[in-house]
This record gives sequence, structure tokens and C-alpha cells, in this order.
Amino acid sequence: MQRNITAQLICAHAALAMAVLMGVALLLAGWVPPPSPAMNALDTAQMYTAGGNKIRFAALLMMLGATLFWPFAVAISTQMKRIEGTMAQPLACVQIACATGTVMAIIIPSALWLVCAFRPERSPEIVQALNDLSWMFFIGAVPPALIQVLAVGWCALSRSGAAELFPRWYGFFCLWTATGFVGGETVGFFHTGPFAWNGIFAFWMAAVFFFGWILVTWWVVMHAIRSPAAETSGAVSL
Amino acid sequence: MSARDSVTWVWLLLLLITAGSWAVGSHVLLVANHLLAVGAVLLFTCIKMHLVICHFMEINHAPGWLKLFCNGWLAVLFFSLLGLYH
Amino acid sequence: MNMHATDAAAIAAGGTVAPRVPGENSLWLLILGDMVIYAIMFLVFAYSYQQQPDTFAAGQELLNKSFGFINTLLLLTSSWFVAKGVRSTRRQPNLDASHWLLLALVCGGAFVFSKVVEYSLKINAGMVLTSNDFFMYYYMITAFHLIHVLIGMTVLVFMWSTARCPQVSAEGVRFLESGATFWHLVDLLWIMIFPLIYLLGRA
Repeated sequence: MQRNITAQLICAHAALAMAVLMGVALLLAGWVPPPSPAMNALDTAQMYTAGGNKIRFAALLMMLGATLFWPFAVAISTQMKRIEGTMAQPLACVQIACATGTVMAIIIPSALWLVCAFRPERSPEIVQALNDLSWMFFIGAVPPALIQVLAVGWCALSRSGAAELFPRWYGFFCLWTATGFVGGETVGFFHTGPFAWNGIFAFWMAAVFFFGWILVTWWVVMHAIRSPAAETSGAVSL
Repeated sequence: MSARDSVTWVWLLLLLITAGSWAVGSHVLLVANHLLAVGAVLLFTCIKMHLVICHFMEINHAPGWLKLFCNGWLAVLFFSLLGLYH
Repeated sequence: MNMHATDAAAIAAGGTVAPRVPGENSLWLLILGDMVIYAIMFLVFAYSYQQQPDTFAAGQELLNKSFGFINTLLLLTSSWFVAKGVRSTRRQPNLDASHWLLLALVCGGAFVFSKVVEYSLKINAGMVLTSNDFFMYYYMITAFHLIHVLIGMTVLVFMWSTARCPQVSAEGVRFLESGATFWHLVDLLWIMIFPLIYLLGRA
């Protein structure tokens, strides 16, 4: 039975490359935490002028990192399909579909950062608007990631045979991650404080959960890929 | 069959503490010593939480690590909040 | 196996009951994890109070403590109903204890209704999410909790359905315990949220 283990593993390991690229990008741009929403237009424009090539390069790394989430999402869904069986794999498809939302929520800001840094002479009001747009996506576009994580968690918890591939604790971990993501939903309401896009809950808590979930999921998926037991034990259908 | 319905007694005690603090609450907070007032409110709050954890969530029959985490969580909250509100 | 009879017998024999984790072990990652998140929120709120004591004290004055007390009583009672239902099913799996869970659902519904009324009154009076930092925390913390109440009520529905089975299996009992633990968590958190947001502060 052709299982393409190597290809699956490569897709799974994309998670690590993604985490590294995204982390390096944010650090390079000096955006840990992100710039304050309370900054005025002039300071925002100045940030991009001063950031120059660092921001441009960070945007490239971020875009590449985000793209690598797609193969990682495929690796996750490939395991989910083993759990859901041959008749229908709705949760696996929901995960992939929502992963696209999560990826675009990072690719679009990357393009916007390139635009902001592209013409230093641009009007500060325009730069601020584009900057606002970028963080509304990057931090504020939570729903795709939320549903993505819930789909994986539900898949892990709902079928009795699932535990051979996705341990029970992983399912609950996904639910806990979803709770940690919720803090970013209200970035549109606040310019300062813990729920602003640079705040304790919207940024720090969500970032810890996001990267934490990627690493934990990478680990779980890696083990699931190498596990032939699910099919042979009959816990899941071939 | 359980002779003592401990869950019901715990519930009545919780209601009593809640109703009691409702009645007394506004007066307690006028007590001259602010720290005492804050301490009292926090103490009764933590007592209620402890009752729910131990008897409703059945942590009093749980393994040591779980008891430690739950009670530790309560202790951290109690002392941190007391410190912040003094 | 009749768990409670074994426990009762063990206690009667003077021995101690072996420690057991209620519900399934892995659930506690979610329960304890949620407790940590809320603890951070509580501490951030209390810290922010000290930064702006006038604003926060003034905001607290505008809140209606009666809502808070009634909500506490509702959740405590619903927790009791859930505890009764789970213990009954554990003792006698073939006895239909689902009415307890229905009662808990009613209490939960009353809590949600009360919150909607409270929010409506506040919003109509001009106190909204963006009014000031106190009301930001008021809405964010209570709404975050309300989401947990709604999730808990969904779980209660599944628990009610499980409890209605003519003979609840050991796995079913464990599910009931797990769901009950989540509901008790919801109750537990409100016990802290109420005094923190409505009562504690400056003299």
C-alpha cells in the first residue's frame, strides 16, 4: 500500500520552517510586539522609512513562512482523513479550507508591508491606513484559524479510533488553543491595552498559542504519519 | 446508597455565603480598614471556589498533583489579588 | 460496575478510596489551561484597576450588583443540579437522571437571559465596550465567560441525551463527569468574576 511517507513527512516538517521564518521575520522588522495602534500617521510612516530593507526582507520571509503552512495543513488533513474514513472526510476538508484563510491572513499583510516600505515619500495618512489594514489581517483575522483548530480538535475527540493517531490530550489541546485565539478578535475596538493588536491577549497570548499549536501539531502529525497501526488494527478504515 | 448528601450541604453552604455577603456586603465595604474588607471578600470568594473545586469537581478524591495545581491556583489568585488591592 | 458502591464499601471497611481523576484525564489539560488563562485576565484587570482607580471605581458604581448576585445563585444551583445528576447516574446507571441536567440547562438559560438584559440596559445607558478601560474589561471578561456558558449549555444538552439512555455505560458516565467538570469550571470562574468586577476596589 503506497503511503508516500517521505512526502508526508516533508509536508509536516514545513511546520518548523514556517515557525522559524515567521519568527525571524517579526524579529527582523522589530515587531515583537507589533507597533502600537496608537501611533500617529507621521510616526507610522517614519517607522517604514527607517525600517527600509529590514521590513522589506521581513515581509518576504513572512510570505514564504505563511505559504509553508499549506503543505503542513495538507499533512494534518492527510491524518484526519485516516481518522474520518473513506466515505466522507468533512473535517479534513474544513481544516484545509480554513488553512487557506489563515495563510492569506498572513500573506496579505506581508504584501501590505512591502507596499508601505516601497515609496518612502508616500503620504503618511495612506501609510497609516495600509499599516492598519495589515495588522487587522495579521492579528485580527482570527476566525479562519479558530475554525481550523476546532476542526482538528473535534476530529481528534469525536471518533473512538482517533486516539491511535491523534492522542486524546491533543484534541483537548486544540480546544484550549481555540480559547487562546479568541483574544485577538476585538483588535478593531481598541487602540491601546491588552486587547489592542500589540496587547497581552491579542498579540502575546495568541502568538504563544499559535506557535505552540504549530510545534505540538508537528510532533503529533509526525508520529501519526509513522504509525501504520491505525489501519492494521482496524480502528480506522483503509 | 449515600446516607449523607454532601453535595446538597455544600450547595446550601455556598448559597448561605453568597446570600450573606449580599446582605452584609455593602456594610463590610464601609469598614474602616480597607485591607480587612478586601481580605474578607477575597477570603469568602476563595472559600466558595475551594468548595466547588473539592466537592463539585471532586478534587478532594483526586491525585496529589491535581489537588496541588487547583489549590495552588487558588492561593496564587488570593495572594496576588490581596496584594494588588491593598 | 457500581463505582459508588465500591467506594462506599471501601470507606466502610476503613480503607481509603484510590485517587481518581473525574472524567477523562486529558480533559484536565483544557480545564487547568482555561483556569490559567482566566487567572491572567483577573490579574491584568486588578493591575489595571490600580493604574486607574478613579475610572474603575466610578465604573463599578454604575454596575448593578443584584445582577451579579442573582447570576451567582443561578450558576451555583445549576452546578448542584449537574452534580446531583452525575452522582445519580453513577450510582444507578439504569435510572433516568436526565431531569437534573434539564434543570441545570434552565438555570443556564436564565443566566444568559439575565446577561442579555444587563448588557442591554448598560448599552442603552451609553456604557459600551469602548467607553473606558473599566467597561472594556467588564464586557470582555463577562462576554468571554458567557461564551463558556453557551458552550457548557451545549455540552449539557449532550449530557442530557446521554443520561436518558436506559442503561448508561461506563464510557457514558465518564462523559457525564467530563461535561460536569466543564460546567463546574464555568460556575467556579463566575464566583471570582463577580466580586472582582462588581465589588472589589477602593473603599
